[in-house]
Amino acid sequence: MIAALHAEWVKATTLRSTWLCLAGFAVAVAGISAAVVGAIGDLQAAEPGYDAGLLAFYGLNFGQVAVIVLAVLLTAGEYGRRTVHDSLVAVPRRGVFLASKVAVGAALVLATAAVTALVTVVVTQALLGPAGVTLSELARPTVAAALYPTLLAVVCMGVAMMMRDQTIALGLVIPFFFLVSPLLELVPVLQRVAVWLPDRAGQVALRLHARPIDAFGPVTGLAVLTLWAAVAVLGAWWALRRRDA
Amino acid sequence: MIEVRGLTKRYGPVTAVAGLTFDVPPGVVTAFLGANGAGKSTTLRMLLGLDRPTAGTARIDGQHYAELRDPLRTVGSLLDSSAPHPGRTARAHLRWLAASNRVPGHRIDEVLDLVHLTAVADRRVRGFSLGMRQRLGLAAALLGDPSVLLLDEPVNGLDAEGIRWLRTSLRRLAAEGRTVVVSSHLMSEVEQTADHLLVISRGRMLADTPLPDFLAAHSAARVLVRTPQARRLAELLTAGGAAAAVQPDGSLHVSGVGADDVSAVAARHGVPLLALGTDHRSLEDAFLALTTGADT
Repeated sequence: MIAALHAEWVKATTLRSTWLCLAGFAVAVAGISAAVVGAIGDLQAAEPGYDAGLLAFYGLNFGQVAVIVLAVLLTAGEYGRRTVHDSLVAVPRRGVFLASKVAVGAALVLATAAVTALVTVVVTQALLGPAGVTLSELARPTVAAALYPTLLAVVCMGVAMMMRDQTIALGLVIPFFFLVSPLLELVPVLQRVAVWLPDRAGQVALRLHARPIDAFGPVTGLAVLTLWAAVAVLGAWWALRRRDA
Repeated sequence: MIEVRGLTKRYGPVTAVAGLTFDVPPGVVTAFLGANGAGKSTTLRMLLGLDRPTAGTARIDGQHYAELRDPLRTVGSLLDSSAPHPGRTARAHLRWLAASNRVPGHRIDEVLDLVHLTAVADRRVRGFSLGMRQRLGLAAALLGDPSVLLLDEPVNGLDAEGIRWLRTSLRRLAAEGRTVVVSSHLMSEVEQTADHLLVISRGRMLADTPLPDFLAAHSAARVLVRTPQARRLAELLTAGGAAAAVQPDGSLHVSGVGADDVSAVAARHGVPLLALGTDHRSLEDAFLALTTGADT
């Protein structure tokens, strides 16, 4: 398992696309959050429904796309690039292969997202000045801003591994999490179901205050997202074991 | 040592491999021959645990591939269906493979040197020619210093020098006591390298035989002779029981005897020989007849 982890680490870190995705994530999250807060932060802060957590991590809506792309490249990308046979010949135990891949992908995203979350919260609250809240108040949303992209990446790694096609996986997962899922939450009859979707559930933990439509709190939200991640990885494991490579 | 017993692979109604049984012993080069689509790659993929057999077993040193500890240190393979990531350098490709099976780092430089890729080791594979990719694949196969080598169409993309290098390497690796399997769809590619032949067609074994036996059984070797005394030599050979025919261009085609017999007869009767050779088309023909005959 240590050898397989080492191999996945070398594989991930020797590709330029990995670093581009991680850098893209950091720049999008911190940059867009800072830009939005800088431009309309004080106006937003005066609104009645203002949520300091949601505003501070506004850039996450866009940054998550980079994490999704990375997750798909690390998994379905192996099929598109025809490297998967080499990978499975080197590490024939499917469970070890998948666990190593997911662990390395998650570790890379977690490290990047943790640093990004800290930078983002410090910068946005500094920009807000007197309208800002204390950093200790935002501690929980900041932790969530590190965990949410990590768990979302695990969901996408599992899903893309099952699909085995990079283009289809990207074409399905990006629009779903970027567009479809947020919109479903706006449709009154669907929102009771939509709040349980992986990204909606995880984002509950980013907010400082509960909304009327929320069915659960921040910890449960992250737990629901974790459950989705577990199901996706188990599905990928089942598919890997069952199918020919 | 490879042991395959009743190995079968069906894809829905299509049977790609139909009950193959064979052993591959160490110390010799075994050629795995068959037309494209005969089931060679599928068999190799099942040996490597990539495809699940519908029935039967494929074992390497008594174990299923997935049971091997650090498999790259036992089995080195080159697959037609696999490719190094274009965005990685040659060295990075070998680095992750080495890491996955605890292969010591110095082996990376050794195999790069062995396949003459040291100069381009830090370039991305994207810019590699087909031949360079093939040599990187061979480097990866040799990385773990394995006792078993499974090479699927290794000659693909290699230039003349590369092919000669590969032939010498395969002979040396077999002489070191390793088990060497080379698949090919061309008889001529393996004729000079292989000791043993496994010929398959439509997933079935047609021949499992030492190469000399196959040659003796299937190639009615035709000897080509150039001599100023073609008519006289033809008469001498015909008298000795061979079939000899003078061609319009003055050369002589002889069948029924070997080149050594022809040269002995010529020497005994003082017939000067300008050229003497064996026509190998007949062997390729025999292989084709064997494989296509089985298809109908």
